[in-house]
Amino acid sequence: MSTVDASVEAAQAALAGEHACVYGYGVVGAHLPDDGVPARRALAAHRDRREALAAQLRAAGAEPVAAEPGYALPEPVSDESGARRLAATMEQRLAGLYADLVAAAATPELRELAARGVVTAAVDALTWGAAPVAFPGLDGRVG
Amino acid sequence: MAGQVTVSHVIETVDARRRRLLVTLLGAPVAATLAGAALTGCSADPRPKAAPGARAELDADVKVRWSAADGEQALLALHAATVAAHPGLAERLAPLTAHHDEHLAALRDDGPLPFGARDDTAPAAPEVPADPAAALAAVVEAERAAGDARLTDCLAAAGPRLAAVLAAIAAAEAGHGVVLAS
Repeated sequence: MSTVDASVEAAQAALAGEHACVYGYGVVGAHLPDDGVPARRALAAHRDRREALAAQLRAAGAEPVAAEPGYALPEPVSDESGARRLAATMEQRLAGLYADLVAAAATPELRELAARGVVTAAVDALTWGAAPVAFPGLDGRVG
Repeated sequence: MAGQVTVSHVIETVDARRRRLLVTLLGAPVAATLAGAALTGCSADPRPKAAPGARAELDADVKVRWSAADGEQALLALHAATVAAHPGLAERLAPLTAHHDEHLAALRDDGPLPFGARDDTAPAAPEVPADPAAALAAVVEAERAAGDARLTDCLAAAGPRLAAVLAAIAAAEAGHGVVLAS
């Protein structure tokens, strides 16, 4: 696989992850008090990054992957703590996809988008209740 | 529902991709390459390198790792000095200090750093504010600054594996700032 192919594939994987997050935060928001303001803020941020990834993919001559029609959740969400767990899980997984993209990115712009994606997802995972880890996005693969 | 895929399906697909990416990018699983990878391991770097440029990129990455390792040592010294001055902060800082130990080890495992003597050179003892809250705030500030610096290092790194490690370290340190400030 060429460098460019690997870059496009990793960017598509990150984009698919962002699509899943956009769906998931709709569920998260529905189970949070205060009208789910933090979830709506997260949703907006994920939509922005989804657009940024799609733009990078188009610039590389690739057709950005579309969202799936629906997503089943890792576990049913029926209350606030379940919603927070889902959000934390999504952000942790997304951090992994962005870490892959950091390694695969064929352009500095894509590398930067990915690196900021790792940082943002890791910090967001913590704010939703995940425990801090030494290598967000890489845990289990370093050392 | 027809056409419905599960999040875990997406993740499984992605995991398969990640495994393939690891193999194509790194030549072998990360853990296996870590020990001996750094300098020789750059042959697993998929970016095409002309022979003269390869040497320059290699040298550049040694500098990036050196600067990042320096930053980790400074944070470790700050954690140690802070805990010495304020034992009450020990419990909060300990798990995060352990992360910095891991960061430093990962940066060094990537190959020998230049000027080996630096490994034994303790940085100057950092000043710690007498007020515990101010001392904690100083650690928060240092973690955030280090996270920004590692992000810059990540963008400067030539090797993909080093770049990913630096992004993860940047993320961990940004997270430390958030955890300690909350």
